[in-house]
Parts: sequence; C-alpha cells; structure tokens
Amino acid sequence: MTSVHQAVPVLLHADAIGDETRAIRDGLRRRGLDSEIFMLPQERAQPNLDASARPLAELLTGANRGAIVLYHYALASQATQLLLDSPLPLVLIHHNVTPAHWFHMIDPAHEAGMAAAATDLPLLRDRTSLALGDSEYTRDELEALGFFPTGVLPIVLDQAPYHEHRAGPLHREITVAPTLLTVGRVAPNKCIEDCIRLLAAYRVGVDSRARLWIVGDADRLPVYRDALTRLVSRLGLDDAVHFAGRVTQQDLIDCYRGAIAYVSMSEHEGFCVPLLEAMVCELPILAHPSTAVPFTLGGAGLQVSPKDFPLMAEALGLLLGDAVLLADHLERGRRRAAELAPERSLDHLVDLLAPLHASPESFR
Amino acid sequence: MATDDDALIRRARRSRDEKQERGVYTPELLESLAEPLDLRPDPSAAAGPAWPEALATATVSVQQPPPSSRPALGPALTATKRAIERALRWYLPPVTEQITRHNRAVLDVLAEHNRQIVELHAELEALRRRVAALEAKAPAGPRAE
Repeated sequence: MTSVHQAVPVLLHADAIGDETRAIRDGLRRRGLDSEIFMLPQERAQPNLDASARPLAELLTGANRGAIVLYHYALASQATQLLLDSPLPLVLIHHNVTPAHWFHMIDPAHEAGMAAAATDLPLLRDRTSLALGDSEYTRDELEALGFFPTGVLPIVLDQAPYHEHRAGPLHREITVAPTLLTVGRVAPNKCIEDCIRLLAAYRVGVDSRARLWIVGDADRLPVYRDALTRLVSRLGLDDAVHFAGRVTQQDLIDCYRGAIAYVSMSEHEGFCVPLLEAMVCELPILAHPSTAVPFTLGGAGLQVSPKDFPLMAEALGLLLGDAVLLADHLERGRRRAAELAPERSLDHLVDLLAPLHASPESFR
Repeated sequence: MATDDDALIRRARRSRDEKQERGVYTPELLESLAEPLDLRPDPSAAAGPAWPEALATATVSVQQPPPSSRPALGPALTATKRAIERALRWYLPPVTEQITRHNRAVLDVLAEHNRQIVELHAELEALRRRVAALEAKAPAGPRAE
C-alpha cells in the first residue's frame, strides 16, 4: 500500500497543528493510503498529549522505505536533524515561525526558541521534494529562502463540529451582552492590546454595553498578560474584558456562535485558524490585514488598516447595524469557508504528492 | 465586495469625524488609546536564557565524595577520598563561601544592569512612538531613519 506518513515534534489535542495532522491522516486513509503520525519521545507528561502518535524512531527504520513523509514545521526540535539524516523523501508543511523580536524583553526562552526555529528552517531546503506553506504569505517566505518547488496547503480544518454544534452553557453566558471575540494564544504578535483599545473606542462611540472575550492560553507569557491587565484597568474596562483561558472545542464554538463579531488585530499570522472558524460559524469579522490574514479571509471579513480605533469601531458598528451589508458580509465568509473545506485541501494535497511517488497512479 | 467595504469605510470615516467634533471621541481618549503598552519585564528578560542557570549555580559548596563502585579497590578509594576531604575542611569551606559571596555580588550587579536595560528599552520604545506620531503630524519632508 502507498504510504504517506506525517512527522511532528509533538502531537497534541486542542492544538491547531495537532488537529490538522489528524485531519490529514484521516483524510489520506479515506483515500486508501496508509498514513500514520510519528512524534519525538516526550520528556514530560502533557495532559493533552495524543497517544495515537508512534515514536519517530519507528518511522526512520527501513520498514518505511518508499513512504513520503510530511514534516510539520513550526518550531526547532531534534526531529529536523533526525529527518535530515534519514533517506526518506520529505515534504515540508511550514506553519510559519513568529519572528523572535516579538518576544524580546517579554520571554527570553520564547525569543531563543523562535530564533532557533528560523535558523533551522533553511537546513531543510535541499532535502525537501516539495515545500508547502499554509498560506500564500508563508509560501512567499519559503520561496525567499530558496525552497523549490513550493505550494500552498491551507490549514485542513474539520468543519463538521462547527456545523453540528448545539449551544451549551457558555453560549448563554456570552450572549448576555454584545461581545467582541478574539481567539488564540495570548502572545504579543497577536496585539491583543489593540483589541482592547478597539473595545474602548467601540464602547464610547457605538455601544457602551459591549465586552471583549479573549479566548486562549494566557499563562505562558505573564509579562505580556500583566501588561494587558494594566491596560484594561487604565482604560476602565475591568468589567468589560474577560480572559477566558483555554476552553474545550464545545465552549469555543459557543463563543463563536454567541459573539457579535470576531476581531483580529494580529501583526503576524501564518494562517490564523480562528478567522476560518469564525467564517464557518457565520460570525462577522473585523481584521487588520497583516501577513497571512488577507489570504485566509480571501474577499471576506472587513479589513481595515491602519489601526485607527475610532474608525474601526464606527466601521464595525455600521456593518452590524446594516442588515443588507451584514448578509453580504456573512455570505462572503461562507463562500471562503467552503473554498477552504478540508476535502478540497486534501484532494489538492494528494494531487501535489502524486508526482513525488514512484507509482503516481497509486494516488488516484 | 471591496467596493461595498470601501463605501462602508468612507461612511465610518464621516461618522468618526462627526463624533470627534461632537466630543464623543475626546482628545483624552485618543491620547489614552495611543499610549504604549506598559510592559514591565522581569530583569531576567534582559539577561537571556542562561540567567536561570547562573542563579542556580551561584552557590558553591563542598560535597562529601560519593562512594567508589570499583571492585576490590572501591572501599579503600572511598576511605582515602573522605580522609582527604576531612583533611581539607579547614581550608575548602571558607574558599567556597568566598566564591559564593563573589558570585552573588556579580549577579546583583548584573541584575541591576538588567533592570536598567529594561527601563532604557521602555523609554526607547516610548520615544520611538512619539517620533512616529510627530512625523505623522508633520508636513512631508525628510524623515528620521
């Protein structure tokens, strides 16, 4: 049987790369291909570790000769050197690396980790048969680094749970007041401070009842989180901004379904899964069009630049208050979400992989 | 469609200007929104990733030698090492205390330097933003690099 395996440093549940890796494995299996996920041995226990992954050492044995390996790259790890030393044909799936400068004076370990990831990436250049970025923005970066050939594989997100969702307790909680939503790791490149500033302007100019929910891990970068907390207090928004932390998928979908709009002020994204999730959940989007954001949104979402918060607040207020405009906006989001449907991306991936295999017809 | 969005942004701009004139978006609010984020890094942020190791190994102490596991000679070697350690007890602990005091003093100096670097970094960021704001207001002309 034709084998297309995947390698990751670690496979986690409730993690964008982990979710995509599982979706690709399941999709390849549905297409009759043999597909497993391999990861490095883990030094410490992690509560959301996915035990379905097999040890990377198993992949590197002769038994897998002839297999294509998709290597998901987002951070520096021993997996890079192990794969470089193996004779297996590699396909890079690059999820982009946040530039280290975002973590300067905030977290030296993060800064060093991101710098190492950026340094290691070019090592893969001469060993990859194909380099895929999860957006045009990321593909451009790969091309600039000399990777060839390159392509785009948008994040493969299983959209079914978002459609089949039934409202849970968090839905009732979030719909108590008009709530703007932003989702993702609380990290400086996401510019959460600008979401807070936008809320301040929105409350003054459009709706004084509005709130902001920030959903995502807020514990990893305490220097940044504490600065955000001080900003919230300085702007008098203590009762209006809620750090919800990490939530289950059920709760996350409740948030998307119950908020009035999704806001993204991020200055660096390799793809930005929450934008896709928001479009699938038919949530209006206001975004700052940086890096991969315009690719992910396609023609959808209201993209406003520069960051003039009163202007953004007014634009969002006008959009939400105009039924015709809003319907058109949501329709564009639905169309873009359909373009990014997982089966389309998986078909595209199979088409890209077929020429790399000794018997391309086995992919059809 | 982009044209609809462009029209929406034009309407939003008019609405913003009108509300600014009416004093809804006050100058104080706009100033407050433009203030830089008040990051207060731990001084270790300026020291780099080796800082925790430097802290952890600053204290130097004399340990009793571990027992030798070599066959036959092991007990004799262990006894000899321990005898030497006992014989040097009058000398080694004061030396290690002196080294520890020195290490801690050096770390205190470094921590103070780190604190000052963090402060200077924050001031630099604030100045950069002020320059950018002034340049945005100024008529077209040469720009600071």
